[in-house]
Amino acid sequence: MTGTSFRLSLVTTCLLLGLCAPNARALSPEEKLDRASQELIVQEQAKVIEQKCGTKLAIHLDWASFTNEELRKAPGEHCVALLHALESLCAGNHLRAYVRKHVKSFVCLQSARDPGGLEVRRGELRWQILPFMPNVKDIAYAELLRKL
Amino acid sequence: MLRFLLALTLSLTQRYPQMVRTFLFPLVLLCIGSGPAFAHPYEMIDLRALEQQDCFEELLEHARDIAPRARDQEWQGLVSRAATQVVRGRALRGQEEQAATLADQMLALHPFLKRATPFLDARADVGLKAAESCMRAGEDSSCWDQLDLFVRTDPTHAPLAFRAGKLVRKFFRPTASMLFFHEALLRQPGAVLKKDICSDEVTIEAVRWSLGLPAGHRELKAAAVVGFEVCFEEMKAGLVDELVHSTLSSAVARHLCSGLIEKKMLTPFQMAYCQDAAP
Repeated sequence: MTGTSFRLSLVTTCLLLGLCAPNARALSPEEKLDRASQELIVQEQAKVIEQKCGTKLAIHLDWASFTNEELRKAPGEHCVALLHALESLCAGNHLRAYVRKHVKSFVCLQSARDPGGLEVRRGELRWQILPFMPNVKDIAYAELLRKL
Repeated sequence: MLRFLLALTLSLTQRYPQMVRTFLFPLVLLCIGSGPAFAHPYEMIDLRALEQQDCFEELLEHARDIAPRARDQEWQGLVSRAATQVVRGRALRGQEEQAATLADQMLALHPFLKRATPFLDARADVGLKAAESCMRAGEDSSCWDQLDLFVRTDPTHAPLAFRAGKLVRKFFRPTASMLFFHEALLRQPGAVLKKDICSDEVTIEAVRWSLGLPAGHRELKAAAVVGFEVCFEEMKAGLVDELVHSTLSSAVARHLCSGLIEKKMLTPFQMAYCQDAAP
């Protein structure tokens, strides 16, 4: 993919996801691109989940919750960790069947209340991240097995 | 003295058989029969005095001068206290290994010491110190074997088995402690000690590691008994936590699953995990 077409793809994603809607503070074009690239990271992994787990997830990154400077710029890596863990669990037939039936959407947010924790509400995985999360994939894996 | 008299008798028998038969032979028999009279056997009053004088080694040396029928509660108390003092004294002089050996010899000689708690505590202290010295010196499996034998020689002392497990963990991997903890819990340790053993992080660690061993290991069986039966209340949260951190299809996942399914501790998703973890 050339640089121009990649940029176009990000802008398209940005428009599709409605990120360019007016916020409390208008986003600069660079910020918009940053967000779009982060959303894309998560969307790509959602496609993998669809293939491996057989469920099409509705994805939402809760930008308003990302008060931390680092997370506001690049929450994608932390967000996607949960989906990577979900993918590895879908290696099992029974687990895959369970995920296909019970998991429908994914929200990634920053939360001081239960950092590094997962909430499951009616098929929605609410993954609460922190700026510094060592072993984030291990945490995500354990949280899925504990809470799902 | 007796040898000399016997030699003399034999020599005289050849020269003057009649005289020997009449006088000397009965005389020699009389001397042999009254042998202990020359050794001055101690009596209870002597043993009491020895205790008063802190002469515990001598007391033990002469404890068996008292006839078996006269070895009453008082005698047992004297021997028990003396044995405790001698064992502790040797350890204070840095002779833990000799002290432990001596303690076991005394147990063999005076079986009633198996009911003497202060003596058994002293034995446990010196034996564990000796085992620690052995392990510190790097004599790997032989130290473990000796300690195992030492623990089994006193089959009712739960704290000894528990302390042995904790000591072993200082020098070996967690699974090496598992059989000691299992043994401690089988010895009816009482509610307080049982709770201590079950809640101790070293015990929990041993259970978690041992559940990851392949089928057939004694430690695995011991871990299942401790984790899912004896200490289940204290360990259930830790066992579920171990499951959620396990790798699908690992031995630990399979063993945790079989125990936790039986206890009905799993969520539907965890049940699915366990179904996939099964071979």
